[in-house]
Amino acid sequence: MVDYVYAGFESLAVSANSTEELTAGLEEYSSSVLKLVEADLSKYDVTSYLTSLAESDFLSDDALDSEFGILITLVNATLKFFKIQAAKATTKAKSVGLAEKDPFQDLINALDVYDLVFVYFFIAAGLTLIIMAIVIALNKKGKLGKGDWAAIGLRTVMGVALALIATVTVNYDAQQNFLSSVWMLPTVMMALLIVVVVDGVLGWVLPATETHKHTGEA
Amino acid sequence: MVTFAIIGSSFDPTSPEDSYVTMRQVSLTLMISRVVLIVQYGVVMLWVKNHRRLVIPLLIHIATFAVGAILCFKLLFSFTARSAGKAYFVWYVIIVMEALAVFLSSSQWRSLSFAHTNLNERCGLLTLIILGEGIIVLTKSVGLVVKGENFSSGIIAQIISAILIIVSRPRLPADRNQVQQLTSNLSISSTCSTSTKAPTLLLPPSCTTCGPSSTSPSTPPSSSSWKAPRASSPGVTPCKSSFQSPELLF
Repeated sequence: MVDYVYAGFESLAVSANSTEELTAGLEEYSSSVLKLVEADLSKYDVTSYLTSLAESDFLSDDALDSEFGILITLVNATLKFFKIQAAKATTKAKSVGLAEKDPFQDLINALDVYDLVFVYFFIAAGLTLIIMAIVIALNKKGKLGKGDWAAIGLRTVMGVALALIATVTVNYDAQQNFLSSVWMLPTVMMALLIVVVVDGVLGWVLPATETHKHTGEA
Repeated sequence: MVTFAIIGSSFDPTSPEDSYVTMRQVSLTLMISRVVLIVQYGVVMLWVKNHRRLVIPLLIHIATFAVGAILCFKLLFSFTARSAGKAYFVWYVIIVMEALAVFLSSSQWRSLSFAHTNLNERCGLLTLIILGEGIIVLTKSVGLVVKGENFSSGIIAQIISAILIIVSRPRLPADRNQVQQLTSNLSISSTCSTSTKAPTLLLPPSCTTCGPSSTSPSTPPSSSSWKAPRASSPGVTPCKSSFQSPELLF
């Protein structure tokens, strides 16, 4: 969705031949995007940027700053709709010394949250599978057959693999490529499907052993 | 639950100073819920006070919830308009402590185990509810994304992936016996006779202390599984179950 906003903005900026044309186009585009993401117009207000753009020369530094401000505001509104925004405490702490409303700082804070969500999403997905392996071991209470060990090993390996995907944050370019691609959900989906399919095969090849019995007294 | 539903809309842990009243309400509700649990366990303990091996695990549970209630009560005074800080982390510590104490004592003392209870079904139903909420959020997000940009191969792949993740979650059993059940349509049943292959529904009338196994979702819980206390009655043959370990479920 952010790419869509950026692509629409870029096409307008490239196709405009004058400040008036650019201002009119951006005003219409901004109102449609803000309406689409149900933004609070009092918080995501582009009027000041449009006024500044209308008063500046075409392709001047002031005009580019105004365009940048409009783009950042639209992206912030889009991220807010998808509930990707920084906590108020973080916003207050990082805004010390800055202007009251700095949309660029808001965007940086929101993208930090996006990166954080990416990290703990994959760690949580991996830990889910690892905890399932622990549960299998606990349920059997020491009497583990070959099939049980295979199931534990499968879940542990896939869980560790999923959790280690979060380490892509070490390389900034790799992280941005992965985040902006469409491969995040398919990666988790393939890992879970591998576990489901191999589990089914193991159920046939190495059936589960009987659990221990006791009298069932209270 | 009603209290949590009412105060949920104004609950904001990211700014505890602004929502300190809601934090206090949550803490008070948690404390009251633990007091209610203490009373329930206390009533059960009164019924089984002559059975020493049942009193000790019940006392452990009561003590655990008492500690939790006291901590929640103390937290009431830490949420103020000036300084709430990270005090709400104590809630997580309380929950983890109680969960560990309950699970460990249930593993140690068979009298308070989760076997022959309806915990299995309830956890399964809760999982289904959570998965349903996930699907609702997914459809909302998909609706917005498609409104902005038309369907592309990437969007379609992500939608299919999200659906498959949600659908495959119940197919990831944490129990090998459930894996075998899924693959070979064999149901594990508890019995009240020497035969280990008796169907779950054919319970002999003399067997009143056992019920269907908690791993057979198609069989309803027997009335005996709702009885308290779960003491063995003299003169009734205790049933043999093929599935006795406490169910640790996700």
